[in-house]
Amino acid sequence: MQVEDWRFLNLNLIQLEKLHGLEEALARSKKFKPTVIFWRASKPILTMGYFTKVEEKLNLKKCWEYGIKFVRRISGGSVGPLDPNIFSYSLIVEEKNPVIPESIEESYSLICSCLVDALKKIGLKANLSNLSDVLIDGKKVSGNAQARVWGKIIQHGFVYLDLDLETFKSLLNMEKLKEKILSLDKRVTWVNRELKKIGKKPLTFEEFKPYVEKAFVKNLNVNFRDEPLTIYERKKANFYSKKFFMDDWNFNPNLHKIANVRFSLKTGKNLINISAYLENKTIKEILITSNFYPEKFFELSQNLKNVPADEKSIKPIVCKFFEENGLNRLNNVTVDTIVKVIMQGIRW
Amino acid sequence: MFGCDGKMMVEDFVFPEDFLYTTKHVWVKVENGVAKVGITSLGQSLAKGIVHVDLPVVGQTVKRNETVASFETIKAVVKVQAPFSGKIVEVNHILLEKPEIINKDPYGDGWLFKINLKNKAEIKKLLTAKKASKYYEKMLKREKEKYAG
Repeated sequence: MQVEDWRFLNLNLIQLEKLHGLEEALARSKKFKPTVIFWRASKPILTMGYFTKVEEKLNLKKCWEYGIKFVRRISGGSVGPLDPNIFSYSLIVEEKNPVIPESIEESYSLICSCLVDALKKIGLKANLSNLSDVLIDGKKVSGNAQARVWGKIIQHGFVYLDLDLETFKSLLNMEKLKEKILSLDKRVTWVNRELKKIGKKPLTFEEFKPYVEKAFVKNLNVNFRDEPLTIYERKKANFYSKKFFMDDWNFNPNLHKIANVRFSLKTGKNLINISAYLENKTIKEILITSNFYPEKFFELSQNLKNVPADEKSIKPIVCKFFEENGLNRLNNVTVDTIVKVIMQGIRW
Repeated sequence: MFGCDGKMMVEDFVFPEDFLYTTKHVWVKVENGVAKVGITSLGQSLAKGIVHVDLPVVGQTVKRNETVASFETIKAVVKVQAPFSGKIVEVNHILLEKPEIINKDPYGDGWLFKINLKNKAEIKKLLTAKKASKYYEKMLKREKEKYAG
């Protein structure tokens, strides 16, 4: 079989939302080339599978308290942490490309073998397990997820070089996931911890990267060609990244799909975003998010579902919510202002 | 390619003759201008256990090849493209609670949505059971050859 040339993008630090926008732009492109991207998230952030229910999996209060955002990806799987100390990659290839198997299991097996071999090269006893996880001594060091869309396979994954496991645990919903969270210490590890155990020096992202690059080239039997993004591709990536910055996509992708009301209001430093779906003059779905007291606005959203979309119906609910929470105002924003903003949003 | 009862088969997978198909594991059954859409037996088998489903909204207008539904399998999200343009007239809500029905009964209770045909000419772009069987037979052969030895 002829050795294919694949595009290689070495992006280093990037915002997760922009990375997903880039994946989507490349995967949708008509002038497509099989592409592998090496990257790392520019700041600590949570990545969650397409079908993840935010309220069930995350401790939203802690996420807001620590200022850690969560971004919904288009692929499957659960919640994981990303940050600059976690090596990440994305691979985008046509479903019919002869290099990657059509079968989900076999495609994972081939792509993840590159990570396993890179880890072996640095002296760690890694193996592939559970379809899409890479383990060292039975503990997960790498997770991988896949989406099949627009005739392409998009697989992305990470290798923990270092990991702040305690912070990650605190961001999960302890009520719903207690056993899973408590067992994370036994189930997860990271490269530099394992290297330390065998008396080796820790590796940085830049030092680990060539091992993965070589393994990809060898195991996939392709050539990597550096080919930077064009201005057009950057523009497209920015366009598609907008979705991943939107609260309705990240909280509730169904609302993102059907929302017929979207409104943002900025007053001074306060920002309120409203996404809603109105049907027959009733609020069927609504999400209110803000950069102040986010948990309160989120709770308020839940109370406004199935309420007629008029001031007479909305105001008593907002008043009651303020009373029940012992609030006079939120960051100098009164009940009247909030009702006004909601109404403005709905009329928009 | 033919099963013992004359049905179109690719290995163990049936392709009923009164259905039409895309090359993306989607089947279509047209009745009175409305098309029922689902995942083929081969498609659901390649996907293995389906754990979540995302469906379109009734009233939604879709264009041919636009992503209209998705399902999560063993850790891969697979997007389903509209086989043709039209308006969604019904969705199979039971799948939201019981997505595994797609695996159990892909051509029956596992249907995804119904779509009102906007442009009947687009039906011609779909494959008959015979053509689909040939296409998927070749696909499976290619896969096997790729990994032989």
